[in-house]
Amino acid sequence: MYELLYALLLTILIEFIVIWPFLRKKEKITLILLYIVLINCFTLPLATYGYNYILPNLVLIEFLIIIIESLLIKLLFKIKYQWALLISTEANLVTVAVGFVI
Amino acid sequence: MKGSLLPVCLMLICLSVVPTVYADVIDPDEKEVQTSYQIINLDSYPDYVFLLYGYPFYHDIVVLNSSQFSFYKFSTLSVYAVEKSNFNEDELRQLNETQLQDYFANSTKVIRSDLELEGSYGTVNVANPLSEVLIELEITSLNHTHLEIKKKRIIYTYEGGGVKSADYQDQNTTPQPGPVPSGTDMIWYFGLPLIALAAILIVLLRRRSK
Repeated sequence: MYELLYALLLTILIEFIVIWPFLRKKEKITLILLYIVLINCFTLPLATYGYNYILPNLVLIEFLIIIIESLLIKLLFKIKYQWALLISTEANLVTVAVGFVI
Repeated sequence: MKGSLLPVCLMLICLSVVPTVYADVIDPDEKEVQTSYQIINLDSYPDYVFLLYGYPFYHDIVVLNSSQFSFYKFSTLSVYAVEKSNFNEDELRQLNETQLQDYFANSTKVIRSDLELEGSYGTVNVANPLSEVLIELEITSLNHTHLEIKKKRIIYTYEGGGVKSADYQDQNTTPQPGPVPSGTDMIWYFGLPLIALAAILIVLLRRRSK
């Protein structure tokens, strides 16, 4: 359980560091952090469940997460979908890369 | 010179013809699953000593306690019981391999079980998050001549902290984990996303109402 919580906190931190530069002129820092927390609290447990119990395929799970997070980023930050997809892709690729390194 | 090259040539020919020996090598796409055992009611038999012995380490014994134990992946070991009054560990450790084999095969002091334990659960694809397997054993019968141990439950541990267990229905069939995680994991996997989704919807609805 603590490992899952650690993974969530680390993912939130990494995604915040990646996403904040994109959106700092558009949104307050506290709102950016809040939205990233909400997005990750929604996606990370489901992704972990999917990977552990349904489909242990990291590439497919990450692809689904990128799509879902891009939609949530678009809605919450009110930006174009292409822009949201780019941000989501970059944030998740960095998270996966850090995960591999750790 | 020609004579000295002949053995080398013969060796190269042999190596090119003989199929590759895999032995201890795991396929690059596979990973070994760490396997442990635990006798859950060992403490209920304080008058006995439980020993682990078998292939290929016929020269060595392991004295078991109630903790988890694991052993070399290619081993096949059995659990034996000896009454404490008949057991002298130092004496046993002084026996050579042949004497030990004879002791476990023929000694009237040794109580044998039919159960054989494999050192490894096997390999799984590297993408499989399964990381550890623990098989719980239970002593169901023990008297001066007979020891019966059964596999009771298997506990699968996954990368990321997921744990699932399944009871043995048939001793020869390893039960596979069910699709649903147990206990507090459910709160993590579904409770947190539900709360987050509700918060996201509130944010969006409040924004729309403004």
